[in-house]
Amino acid sequence: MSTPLLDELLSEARPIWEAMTAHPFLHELATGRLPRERFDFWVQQDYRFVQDGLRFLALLIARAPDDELRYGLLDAAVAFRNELSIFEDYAHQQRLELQVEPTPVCLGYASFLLATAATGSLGEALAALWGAEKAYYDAWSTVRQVVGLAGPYARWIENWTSPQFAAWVEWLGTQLVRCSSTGEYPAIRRVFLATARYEYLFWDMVYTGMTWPI
Amino acid sequence: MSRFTDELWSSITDIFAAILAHPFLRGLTDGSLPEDAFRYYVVQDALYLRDYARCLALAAAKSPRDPWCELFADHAKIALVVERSLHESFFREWELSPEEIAATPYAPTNLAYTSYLLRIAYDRPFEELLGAVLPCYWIYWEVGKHLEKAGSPNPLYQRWIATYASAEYAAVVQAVINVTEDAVTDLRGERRAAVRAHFVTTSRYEWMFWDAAWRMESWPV
Repeated sequence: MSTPLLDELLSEARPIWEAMTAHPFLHELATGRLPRERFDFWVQQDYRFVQDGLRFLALLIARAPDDELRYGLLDAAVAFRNELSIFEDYAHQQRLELQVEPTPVCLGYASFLLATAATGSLGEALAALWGAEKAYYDAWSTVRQVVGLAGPYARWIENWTSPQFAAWVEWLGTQLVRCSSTGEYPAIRRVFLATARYEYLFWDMVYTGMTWPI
Repeated sequence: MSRFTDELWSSITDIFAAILAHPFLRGLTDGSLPEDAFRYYVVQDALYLRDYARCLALAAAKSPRDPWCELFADHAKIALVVERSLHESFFREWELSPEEIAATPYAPTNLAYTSYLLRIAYDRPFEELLGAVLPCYWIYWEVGKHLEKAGSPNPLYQRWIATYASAEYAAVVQAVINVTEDAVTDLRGERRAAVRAHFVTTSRYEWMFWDAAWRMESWPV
């Protein structure tokens, strides 16, 4: 799907997007060279992030002005819950602790989403959600291009590159266009750029092990 | 029995010591702080205050007692008055217009800190919100007292120091400490622990905020 707003957002964020999909974390994950502890660190941090993501989604459901958006997001909330169980199954197999302290990037990104849902317009909140999901679709698609659905990460790759996930991302884009007005576009652009930056930073944080300086 | 707010302060003595020892603050008093780092700091602080005002307005809305609602509504307004006074005292000298300030992007630490405050303000109970907003009040008061003793050879920095060492500011902070003490009186251990956890987190963000200004932090992409 192509609309001026979505195209504009993606084109403005292109350098960030390219840095994100080219991040060594994703490349090493696809080529099997990523150290296991780096992947486990991502599992722990992303689990904390999706936990807050579910609350973010719940705030959006509460704010949805009509059934179309409300029920679409409600289905997504169920999908988020299933996503959490991929992490839980893995952690159980690997005896990995999931209730770890979020790093500054993880906490910052999750807080940014929740603060946007709390005080931003609905359009801004949908721009953040669409941006986050589109980023995941694109990031995991680059992994899939290299390795397909093989290897130890197949279940994760499948989760964020499936036709259902692609359809959800596209639906979110149409909702963003439908639920925002042109007066909100400058704020939507700011939110979208910050979301893209956080997506890049999240991969970088788990790759470098960046944590609290104090 | 010790006061809860004394326990709060004890839980951040290391962080507070690190703040006082930070080169940004040392540079304020010995005058070695580069003025562009100070300018970066004041601009980010202006952006911060606009969100801080919104958090305090949410604290007012959530106040279980009318005098507290009045207090936070007042402080929300004061935060914006202080923000405007930065324009008159500093930004005019630097020839920065209000539009230029508003168009400045939030630095990563500032966005993380203000987002954290807003999310707690929006969806956590009143006392947790107090835990999150209190370090900004309290640390600035303590920092102001320390810096005032030392003073600064740079008149610009001296003017800034004087704001937070004033008696009026002391009364504002003391009032919020007292509200926090009263608000937790009947609360069980785990609810007090949640207040303390926010207090520690935003104290960390306070250190990081000075550090971000010192490094003139920007987004890597």
